[in-house]
Amino acid sequence: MYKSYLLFELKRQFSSLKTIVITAIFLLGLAGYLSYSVYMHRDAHERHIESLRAIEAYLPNLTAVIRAAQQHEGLTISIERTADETAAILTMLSEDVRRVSAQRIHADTYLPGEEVPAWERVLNAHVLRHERLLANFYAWRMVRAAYLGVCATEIDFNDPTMEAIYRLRYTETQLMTTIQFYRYLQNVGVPIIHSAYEPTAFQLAHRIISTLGAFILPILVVLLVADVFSKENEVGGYKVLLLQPLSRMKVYLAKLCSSFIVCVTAFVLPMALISSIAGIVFGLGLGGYPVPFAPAQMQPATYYETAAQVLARLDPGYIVPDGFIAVSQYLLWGLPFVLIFLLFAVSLTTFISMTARDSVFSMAVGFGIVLGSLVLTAFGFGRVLWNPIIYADMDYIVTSGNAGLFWYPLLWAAILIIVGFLWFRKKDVIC
Amino acid sequence: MNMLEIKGLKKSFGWGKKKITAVADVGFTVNRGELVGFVGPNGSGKTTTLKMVSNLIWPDAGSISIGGYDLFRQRNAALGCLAGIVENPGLFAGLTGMAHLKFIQGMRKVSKSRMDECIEMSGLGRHLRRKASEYSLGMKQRLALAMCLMTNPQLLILDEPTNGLDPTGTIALREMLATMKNEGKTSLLFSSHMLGEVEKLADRIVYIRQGKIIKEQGNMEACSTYYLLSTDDNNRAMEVLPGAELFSDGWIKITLGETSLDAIIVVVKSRGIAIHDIQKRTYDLEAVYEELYRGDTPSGAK
Repeated sequence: MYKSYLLFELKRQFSSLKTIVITAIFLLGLAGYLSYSVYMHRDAHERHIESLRAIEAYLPNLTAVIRAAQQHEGLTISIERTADETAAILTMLSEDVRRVSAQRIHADTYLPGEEVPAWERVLNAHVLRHERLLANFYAWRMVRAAYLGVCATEIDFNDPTMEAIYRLRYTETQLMTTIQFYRYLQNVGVPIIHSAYEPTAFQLAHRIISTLGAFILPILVVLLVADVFSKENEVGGYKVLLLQPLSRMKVYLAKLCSSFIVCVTAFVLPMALISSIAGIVFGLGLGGYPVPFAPAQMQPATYYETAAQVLARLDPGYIVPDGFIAVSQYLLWGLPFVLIFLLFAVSLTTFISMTARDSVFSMAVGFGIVLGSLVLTAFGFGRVLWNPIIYADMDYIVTSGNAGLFWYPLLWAAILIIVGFLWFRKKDVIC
Repeated sequence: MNMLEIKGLKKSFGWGKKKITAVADVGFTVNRGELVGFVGPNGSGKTTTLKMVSNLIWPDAGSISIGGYDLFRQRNAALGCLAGIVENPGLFAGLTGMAHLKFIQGMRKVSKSRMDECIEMSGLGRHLRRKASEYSLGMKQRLALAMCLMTNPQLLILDEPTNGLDPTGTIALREMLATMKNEGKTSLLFSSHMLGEVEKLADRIVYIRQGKIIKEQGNMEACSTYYLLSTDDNNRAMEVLPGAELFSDGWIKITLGETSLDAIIVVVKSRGIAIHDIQKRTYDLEAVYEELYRGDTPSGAK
């Protein structure tokens, strides 16, 4: 009987005009996002080519500028030496990436008793695992971090002139390292992109889940599910439903399950369709490191908000799992967390719907909570509450400080389901 | 065997000063195959009682057993014996009439032939393809009735079943209930303000007032003949006439039973009591109702 009711509820929700219209609107929205990505990607690419030409034109002046800076009183470091050192390291890197990066990590000089930063220990571990491509990326990042560090420690920021020269020098060294880095990328065969809007299948799916979906998901859930119980109250469906020999727990669970399935379908199907279209037109994209690189951000384009933060905040206790480096694998990990978040959102919305007397009230409360949570997130406070953005964020999945947070939606979902069921079990239906 | 047994049912709504007692103490039974009318003015607690029997709302105290199953401990088994329409026909939003019938067919494992029979009985025909929300009240009532009857319930609860039905529908419903009564398979508990309907159908009538059962009587008993006597000494007349009771405004009510009216007159006169007037009354349901609820106003309970 439960199965019969579950099928009835599924059929009812899937064939509802509201579900079809909302899914179609979401699909159109994603199609629009794909178009926007294509436009932004091409625009960024053209702008970058222009900036590269500007760099090329500026290069002949570079030596003169450096010399002017050297002649300034109080300058204690040879810019040529720093630049040459970087150039030498990059040359070595391009010769034998893994060997050099391993050497670089081991040879890095730390004072006796000085603690080696955690992230370097983790990088070291990765390099030692012979993850060649990963090492390419990490090694470069480390070199760059060390290089900028050297520059920064020798500048007296209390002296305005020194600071001005530092700014100048920083720009120059940035230009130099950028050019050298392009050569490096070219040597190791890493394709270069210049925007965070690459419209390939993997990158688009990743962005839909971790960025766009974070806002869309709760709104989608409220629109689809907010009336799942309240409409029975309005029209009197309870009088048919609750007179059947089916326990209220099963009624509650069937409504919850069907709502969850409908929400997953309404989110995943359009996403899969649009990503597939992107895949057919623009290719799958690179599924793993080294990912296309965005020089303007000095970060990998598609991992700017995730991998870069992971790198900066890695803790030996929560290192990135082996192989947890590819966009495709990220999706495999990210989707369960999106589903957990969906379960939470569905549990919350059905709970509201069950307690509300009509759908308008139910929807108003649902949207109030979604908007409220987004506002709280903007102020940082939302991180201790439920937060749609955080749970699809790989940074939060792998870092120690917040690793526990991603279980919150599951915990909240369990609490809401139990309380909702107990409430519904003893609820007086007055309709 | 009692198909429905209600004991000490109580239900209040609200808290503190706003607390309203809808059902104060309700207890009665419906036997197998019996048609019981549930009568009372607005706000007397009829619908609340029926909602508790349907487990739509929970009582504060008391017990309900349906078909021998405790409704609160063996809910599924109890509701398996039950079908009903409470207050107004409840339907699902956005579904066609046929989808409703198929829902019941799936939930209660109803045969195709029984479903077709009930479709025929409902008279909805091609309208079943339309959304039920677009139906008139009468059509909704027919659909809800068809849904109830599809399940061949052992206990059928109908709250104002003729509400919204046109005369044809009302007659059809009455005939259908009469058939059910003759078959004796289904027990029926129904409430109605149409006392004529109750009188025609019910085997027994339960009267409720301000959340309490005030009277239960067989329909034949209710629809009997009685006499009103006006004498110069009503108290003495009541002493000499067993079963006589004070009616109102100086009248004594006498139900004849095996004694003839002439014999009564002789007895009264032999005691020196003068009879001023004698009136023959047919004791129909309306008269009982008037007698029981004279001066009542709706209490406003849910």
